[in-house]
Amino acid sequence: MKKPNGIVRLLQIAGRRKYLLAVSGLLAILHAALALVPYVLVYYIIRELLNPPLNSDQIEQYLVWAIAGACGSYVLLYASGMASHVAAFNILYELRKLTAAKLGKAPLGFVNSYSSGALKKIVADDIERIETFIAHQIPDFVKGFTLPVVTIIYLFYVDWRLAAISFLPLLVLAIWTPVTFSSAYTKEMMKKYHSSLEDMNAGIVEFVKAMPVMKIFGQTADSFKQYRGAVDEYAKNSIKWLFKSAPPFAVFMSFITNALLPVLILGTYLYLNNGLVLPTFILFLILGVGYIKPVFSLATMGMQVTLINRGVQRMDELLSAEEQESQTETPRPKSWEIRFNEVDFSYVNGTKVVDQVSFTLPEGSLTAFVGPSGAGKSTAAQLVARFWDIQAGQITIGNIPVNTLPIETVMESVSFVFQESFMFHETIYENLRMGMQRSEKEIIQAAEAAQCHQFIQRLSKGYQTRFGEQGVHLSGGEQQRIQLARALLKDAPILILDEATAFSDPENEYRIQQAFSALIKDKTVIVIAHRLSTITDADQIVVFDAGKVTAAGTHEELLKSNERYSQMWNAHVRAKEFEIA
Amino acid sequence: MIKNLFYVFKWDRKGIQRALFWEWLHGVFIAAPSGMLLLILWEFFADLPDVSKIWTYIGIMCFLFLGQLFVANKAMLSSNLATYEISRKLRLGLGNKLQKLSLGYYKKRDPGDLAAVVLQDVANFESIFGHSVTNIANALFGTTVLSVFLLLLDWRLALTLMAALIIVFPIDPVWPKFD
Repeated sequence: MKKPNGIVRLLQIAGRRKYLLAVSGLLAILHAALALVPYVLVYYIIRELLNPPLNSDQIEQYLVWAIAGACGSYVLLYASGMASHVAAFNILYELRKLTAAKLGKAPLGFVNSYSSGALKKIVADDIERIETFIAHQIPDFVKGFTLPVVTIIYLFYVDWRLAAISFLPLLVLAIWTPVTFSSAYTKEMMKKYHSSLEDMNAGIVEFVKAMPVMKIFGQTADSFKQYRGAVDEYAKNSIKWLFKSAPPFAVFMSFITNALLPVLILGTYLYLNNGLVLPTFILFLILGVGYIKPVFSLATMGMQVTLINRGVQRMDELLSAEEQESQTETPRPKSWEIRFNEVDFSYVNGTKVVDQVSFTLPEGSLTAFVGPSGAGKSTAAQLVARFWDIQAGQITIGNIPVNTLPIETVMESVSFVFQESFMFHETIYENLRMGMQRSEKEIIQAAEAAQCHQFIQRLSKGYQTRFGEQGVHLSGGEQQRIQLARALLKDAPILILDEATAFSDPENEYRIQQAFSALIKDKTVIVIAHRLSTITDADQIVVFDAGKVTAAGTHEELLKSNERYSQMWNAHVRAKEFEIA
Repeated sequence: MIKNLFYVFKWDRKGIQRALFWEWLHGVFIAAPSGMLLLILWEFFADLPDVSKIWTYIGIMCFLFLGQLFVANKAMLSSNLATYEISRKLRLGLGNKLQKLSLGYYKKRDPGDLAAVVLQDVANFESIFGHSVTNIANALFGTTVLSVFLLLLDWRLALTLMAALIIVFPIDPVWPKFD
């Protein structure tokens, strides 16, 4: 069955709150009906004024009712807004709770497949937009629909001829506007406009982010030339689109402003030929034009609905992501031996990134994964921590398949140190603690072991310095040492170091290596490294190539037995000699 | 805010002047039908309504409608052209400035923040100014033209109508706080 989208899906998500939305809609309908009362009473007052003798008591009565009608309609509008806002805030809360829970349950790899900007857009912007739409647009939509319908019915009841002619501007625009905007040329122009906008946005992000590198290589002029090109192209396409859309807009504005002309011409003719009384004519001049504007405001909602549809779609993609299953009664592993048994894994169906991989990492050993870029080293390491679930074979920790272990147990058992580190805009102390129940003494000990105590002490407020505040930043190597301190504090029995020293300068690398010796003690360690000289002492080296394991053994064993490894080692040695030369 | 607006306007002073002129003229065209209608109603309620005068007013309204087709087009073109030109110059100006900043500045400020200024803030200006300028101009010029006309017709009734503005102004800045 096709999954509902847009407003229908939104109402589905609203759950119990949709009754509150229904109340809001009902109140908006009552508001629309009551809003008409003053105008109708103006008609009765004029009728009274033009038919002597004057009944002032009656007119006073009409005035009181008109004021009561106006006040009542606004009270109902307020109540409708309150109901829709309460529903919207509750839906907003539920949606944020749902998405946050989903992100917690979805595989880490799935979360990583989104950029932080894309996730922020879904969780913050799209949901915020849905809230605004529910709170404001739904009552407006009900009002914008009901008010014209009630008015038209009443106008047809009073005089069908004028009611019919008041439709004329609406009819012309309803036929003409879609015809103007649906031509192939317009569609092509719109496509060009959107594509130049996307190009410009991508160009701006690249220009800003690449600027430090461009400056170093003296390429800012070329980079600016490209940037200028993208900006100019967007301006050119915007102007082209403007020249196409300005005439229809002018027609639209002119029809809206002069919507009373048909009623005025026919009304004057009928009045002068005794076919119409003045109060009825005036009523049409007020109401026969007034109902058109809300109809056009409905048209502008089209854009909002499109945006909401896209937002709901993106949110649904996130909410329908497959969750990782586990068995809560599975016991905690008794040993920390890791075993891969004929493991297959692919991100996209058909392209295997890990292909029939088998090896064993004994408890407390240090194993290095080596191989060219894209060989599957990092993916294999991530599979241990269930970033993704495998398609075939088995991965066990202490003879227990990882896919039966609760996610919490896996996360408690594995520490990761990545190339890139993330620092929260918090104190350095909290950045180290990461919510773990650790004493100040333990935190300082971990910082000392990770070689970061010294540079933290040099900061203006030491451990209480807020990262990111007043220009407080740490170098890549320093941030990596903070990551190591976190891993030390976590003290998980399995440790995965994924290119942890990749961006370090020699001094930082030396300090990180020192920190490693404290970190890896008695742990099952996987090291992914390109610099082979850093892993020659590993208990085992596993060589990856095109998703397969081509060899495994110690450094010396592999140099003798594996051609691929010795090629890599020779290339590494040559590169080192080149650096020295 | 006004200071910021004037700063932005400096990037295309002539374009803004042109846009303001056409938007003002469009405001007159927007207000005119209401004024003309009032004159027609005035005539209807006269002791001896002048039928030819009424049809002349309706004729003028038809011409105004045709005129508005041209003026609305010019107003939209001029205000949007000025907006696009300003945002183009702003983007290029910001890009130029970014080239001249020291490397240390990039270390201190998050590149995402800088990209957001060039990307979102300029886009926000473009979208708000491009789309709202017509509404603002219409509200401003249209209301002014109509108010002057009503004051000339009957200052007592006109002032009663304008009282609504006095009531709305103190509430308007408070309302968003509740939203």
